[in-house]
Amino acid sequence: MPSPAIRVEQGDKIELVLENTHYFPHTIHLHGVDHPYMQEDGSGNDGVPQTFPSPEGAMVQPGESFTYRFQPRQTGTMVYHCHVQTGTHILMGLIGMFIIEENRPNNWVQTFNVGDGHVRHSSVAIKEVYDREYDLQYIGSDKELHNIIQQYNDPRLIAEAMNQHYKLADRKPEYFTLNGKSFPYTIPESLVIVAPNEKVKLRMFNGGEDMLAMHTHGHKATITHYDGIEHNPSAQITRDIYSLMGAQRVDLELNTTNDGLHNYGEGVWLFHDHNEFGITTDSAMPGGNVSVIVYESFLTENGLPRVNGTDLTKFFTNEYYDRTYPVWGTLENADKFGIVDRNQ
Amino acid sequence: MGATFTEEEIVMKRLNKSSSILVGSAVATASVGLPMAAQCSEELFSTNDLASGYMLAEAETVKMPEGKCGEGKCGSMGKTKAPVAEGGKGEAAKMAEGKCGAGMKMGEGSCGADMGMAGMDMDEKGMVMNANSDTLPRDCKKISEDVSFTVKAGTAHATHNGTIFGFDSNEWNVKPCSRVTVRFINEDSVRHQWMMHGLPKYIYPEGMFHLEVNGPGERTGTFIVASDAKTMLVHCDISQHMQKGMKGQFKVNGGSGDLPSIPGISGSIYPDSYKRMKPSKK
Repeated sequence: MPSPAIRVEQGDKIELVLENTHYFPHTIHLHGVDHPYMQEDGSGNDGVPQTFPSPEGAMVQPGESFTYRFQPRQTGTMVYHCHVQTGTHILMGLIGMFIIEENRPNNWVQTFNVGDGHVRHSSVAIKEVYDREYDLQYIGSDKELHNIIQQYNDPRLIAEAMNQHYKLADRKPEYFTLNGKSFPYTIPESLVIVAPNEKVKLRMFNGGEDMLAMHTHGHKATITHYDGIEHNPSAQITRDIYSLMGAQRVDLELNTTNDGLHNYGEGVWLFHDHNEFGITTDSAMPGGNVSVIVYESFLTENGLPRVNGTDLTKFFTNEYYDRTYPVWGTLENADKFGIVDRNQ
Repeated sequence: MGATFTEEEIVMKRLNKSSSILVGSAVATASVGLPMAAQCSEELFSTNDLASGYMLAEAETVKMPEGKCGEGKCGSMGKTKAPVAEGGKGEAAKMAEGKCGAGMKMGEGSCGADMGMAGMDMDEKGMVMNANSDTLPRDCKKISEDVSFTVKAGTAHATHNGTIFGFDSNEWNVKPCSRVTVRFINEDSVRHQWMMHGLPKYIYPEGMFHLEVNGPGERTGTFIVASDAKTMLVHCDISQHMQKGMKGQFKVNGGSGDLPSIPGISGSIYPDSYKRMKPSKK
């Protein structure tokens, strides 16, 4: 489960309470969100231990709580993340989207989008332009790092192993998730469901470390915002690969008008990382962050995409992830494409 | 503010759902395999001779009158007729119709497991679950003594090496059939629990008694233990709090040994290696 997307309204007076139930110190840094360096009482807001103006809140210790106070003046798709030992804490998931919506009357924004994905209650301003909205958070996880916390009970040993023994520069993630799920679990959990002649807002966020080259089949979307800031409308770029470095965001306008440019018609259209490692799960492919843009006319009664392609059952076997499943396992001519008989 | 369950507890929960057998010496009732809502049976036993064991053989399924049990009126601790500690003198106590089990504090007449709440008395600051100051375990003829403990919880009490969270004491000892009142004080700004496992399941759903406080504050609750020599687990079930020190053991009648990883008392089954490691060279 990724850290949930948080939505607030521009101009809201926000109290963000961090209750640290974990066994390490943590903070919240409001990346890109308008917030003052200091609060009125002299305590800080930036969540950076090294530059925090007061001891209180510099690192929120286990069992403690701390309240950040701010009133954002600008809108956009921003970020919140822990700023303690960022090289390990962020990369183990303490990062999420913080979205500031335009200030409008009768604007009831969805404060938490738990699990990200479809936004059930978009803001007034978004609904004026868009038919649907989705939050898409991508993360890559290194099993070497994630295994450390299971190796020891003593938190001092865990901290040493994570922050002194683990070599961050040698990091190589094996698991790639969209909204906390890898293919095939992205299919029920993180579909982008659309209908023809719609405008759909996708907030795409790289919560991991590796570059993303997200590609939409059947569509060319327009990048309206970079890192939450609107791009000059007359110079906005429409393309089929959206590149995102660590912590970057793009807001995409997905236009489902079948004009041969923005869309080539209805269907079940894959969207995935074109860095091929991103579509693997511990090197089993396909896996990783693959999902689909599916038109409502292509949904079954169960809400799943209606496809007549490959049998998906092999993706739920241990053999598939052990990489011992026949490469072309579902084909009938097993003599050509089945498991090699080494004794023949 | 729901309790989170470990895998073991979930298994226990399932077992509990499908195998509730109530026995008595005068009229025995078994309700095996009925849905939870229908499991609320009247049990009558004027004496507590469970040990004789013949009651299971006598057990017969009886049909419960309509509306007696369902509709959220009674949980698995519901309308049982059981000996009570005071005044009852071993006789079947008369429970008021439509109320919950003896001694259970329930909010606004809502009770127990029928509603999936397992006897919780809760608000936004805390919870007492499965409190019981009256219903005697079957093997107890009377309360042996009243004892009370105060337990403080928080990072300040993580006094043992390698712990982050802690209770100010990690072992409690009581006599058989004691009535125990625990005052649980949370000194942290986050949620903590004093969650106990292993009590008789025919009184305490899931065999649990549980105090919980969300941030600074306290809760007090009472329960009655059985007579057998038993060591029961007490822990905080918030993720990693037990593993990082919030673990204790509750011994009745001398207990049945020590549990592993009790801070200051017993070692881990899988102890950490404190050999100095070198940074990985990959």
